[in-house]
Amino acid sequence: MVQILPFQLGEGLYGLELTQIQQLVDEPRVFYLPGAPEEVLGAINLHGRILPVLDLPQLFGFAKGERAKRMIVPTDQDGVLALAVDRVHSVLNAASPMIKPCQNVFAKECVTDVLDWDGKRIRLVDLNMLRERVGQLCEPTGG
Amino acid sequence: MDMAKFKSMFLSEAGEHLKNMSAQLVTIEGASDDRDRINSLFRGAHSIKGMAASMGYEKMAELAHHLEDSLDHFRQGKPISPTDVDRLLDGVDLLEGLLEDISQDLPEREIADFTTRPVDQKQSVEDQPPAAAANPVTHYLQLILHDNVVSPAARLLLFSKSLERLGTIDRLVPSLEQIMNGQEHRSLQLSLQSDLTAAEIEQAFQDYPEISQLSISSEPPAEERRKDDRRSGDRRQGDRRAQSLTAGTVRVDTNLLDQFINLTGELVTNRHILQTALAEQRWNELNDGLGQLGKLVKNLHGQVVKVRMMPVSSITERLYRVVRDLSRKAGKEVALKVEGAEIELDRAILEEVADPLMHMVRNAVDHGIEQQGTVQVRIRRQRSHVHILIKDDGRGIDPRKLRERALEKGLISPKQAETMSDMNALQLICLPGFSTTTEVTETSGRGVGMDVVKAAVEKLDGILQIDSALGEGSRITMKLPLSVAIIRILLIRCNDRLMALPLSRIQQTHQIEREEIQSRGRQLLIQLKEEKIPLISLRKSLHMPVPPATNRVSLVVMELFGRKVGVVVDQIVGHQEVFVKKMPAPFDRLPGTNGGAVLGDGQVVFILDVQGFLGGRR
Repeated sequence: MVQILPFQLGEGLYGLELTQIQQLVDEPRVFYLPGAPEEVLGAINLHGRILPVLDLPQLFGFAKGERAKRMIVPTDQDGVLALAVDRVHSVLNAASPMIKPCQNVFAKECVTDVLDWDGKRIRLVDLNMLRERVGQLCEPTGG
Repeated sequence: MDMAKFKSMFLSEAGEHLKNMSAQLVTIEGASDDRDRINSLFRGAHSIKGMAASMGYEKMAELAHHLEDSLDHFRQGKPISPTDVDRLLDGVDLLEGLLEDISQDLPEREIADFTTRPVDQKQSVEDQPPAAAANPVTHYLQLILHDNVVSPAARLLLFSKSLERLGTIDRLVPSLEQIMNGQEHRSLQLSLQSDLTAAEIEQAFQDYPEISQLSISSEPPAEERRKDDRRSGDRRQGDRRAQSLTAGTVRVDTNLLDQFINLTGELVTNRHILQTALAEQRWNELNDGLGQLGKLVKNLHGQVVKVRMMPVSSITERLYRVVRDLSRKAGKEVALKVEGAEIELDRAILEEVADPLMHMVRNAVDHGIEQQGTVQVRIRRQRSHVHILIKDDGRGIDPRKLRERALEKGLISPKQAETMSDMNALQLICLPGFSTTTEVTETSGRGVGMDVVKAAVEKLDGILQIDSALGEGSRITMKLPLSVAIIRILLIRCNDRLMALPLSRIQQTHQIEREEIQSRGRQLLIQLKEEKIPLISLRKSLHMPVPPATNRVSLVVMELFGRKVGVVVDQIVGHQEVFVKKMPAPFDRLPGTNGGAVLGDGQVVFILDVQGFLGGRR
């Protein structure tokens, strides 16, 4: 069995495995990060650590706008950053076989697997791919 | 068992040996009767061979063995020619290449090209069995554990460690890697080069009840013969970076570790004092406790800084080699003198200045010295700073030529050229796009110019000083802070956002009236004493909305790209001492900041790298 945290980005439903998440942060204050690309909203102070905030909807091509007050912090190995999303849903318990590789990989959205749940399709974000995209974003010439 | 840990230890230790060897080799010419040096070289090769073999890196062990053999001949009194040194250096390079392969988890590169290359007339090197020359004898050991031994892997590791103390382990089956991968192994086969006799080795292991059988023989097991299927590879040697700096492991004096644990103990006590005082609302005690905490934290910080310190020699050792190669190639006679290399600096700073230092030394050999001369690198401690001086006794820099060239390139105006002092003219070589020689030489045409050197030094909150007189050589000084972590900053505000500038980069701050601002074309200027300095708006630079004009303007005067510039900000908030944290990768690559800091009230503020974000648009 796999526990999935689904979240909303624009009109799309996405998810992360619970084991990949260190914690959820409620209403952190976002501080200004000079020179950051649009997709980086700033940085938060998490127990004295400085974490950049990635605007996941914008990175995946959805419109700019206000994001949810609650942010997702992936585990350290999966990157030191916080993810801003449009809405965080409650955790699902899914059986592993229900997770299938998706037909055409959504490279831009860093998705390789999908979960069909209650008639809805949840795209599971691959943090390795995400890390690579963030890497490109931070290249002085890229972004 | 954590294989990665052993591997990183191996990488850092082998890297250290290699660095020493290459430094020794460069200085051995002309001193070939220096027994100590040859012995130390020999020991280096020997240690690498042992370490590599025990980790199962066969090529590396073989090559180290090969070098050990050649060194042994010199140990026996054979004179060392420059060609010999070249060959040994090539060997060390190749070892470094192998180390790089290993650190990147690549298969080890081919070495047959090197090991089979004839050594001029000394073909006999290959024919002599290595053991005949030195005292050590090769023993072939087989060690079997009792069936009831718990965690046999740990035992086997332990034994291989103890065996290392007796001599050099050459072939270990299973390899350390295999042992640590967790498969069940209850026996160990190896060959051991040691001065001890079989009986002595046996005795060393008699106190271990875990061993059910130990056999020692002077004959190798039948199937243990090496297969020779090596083909020559054509991979070039990798770039020679200061490996041990980036290797990621540090050796720490155990005394320091003791102090850490003591401090931790005191912090725990302190926490209880604070808790009790708070619970009982005894404010005086709370106050005292906080005072105590302040001292403890300061002490702790001091100790941690100590651990981060490394001698400057870690980046100067490789310079000998560079100067040697460079001057041989150019047919010049250049000596390198390094003074004060034992002085210590934060490893992060050393990492950043390694390449700039190399570049400046190259420059000195390449452009400074004409035929014969000396390049000096002098390191001195000046209170909380370290000064690294690069000095040559070459032709010096002609400020007139610098002015002409800057004018030609449109970097300065004719009027500027006229009024510019010689001292200021020298600083022109740090302007981006300025290079003193028209032809790109192999040595200096490496993409790093003095502008990059200056930017690197300033990024560290340091200062670069250039001084030269025609015919008297040049002196370039890098003034660097001892440690990176804690710096003084100026807090500023723009568009209601808090930011910081490193105080050391700031020359002064001003409040001026709007009427004082003059304009020349699109450039706004301000007259400050004798000088007119250009203004830039921080809001514009950061793509923030430009506010309605106010009467008073806050100005921070700092040096950017070698010129004084007035940076216009909304508000100057004040200064503070902060602990700077680098941004986690990959965010550390974003231009515009040099890291962030958490202020006392929990606010996060980022240190602006004004030059960094203007850089792209220049």
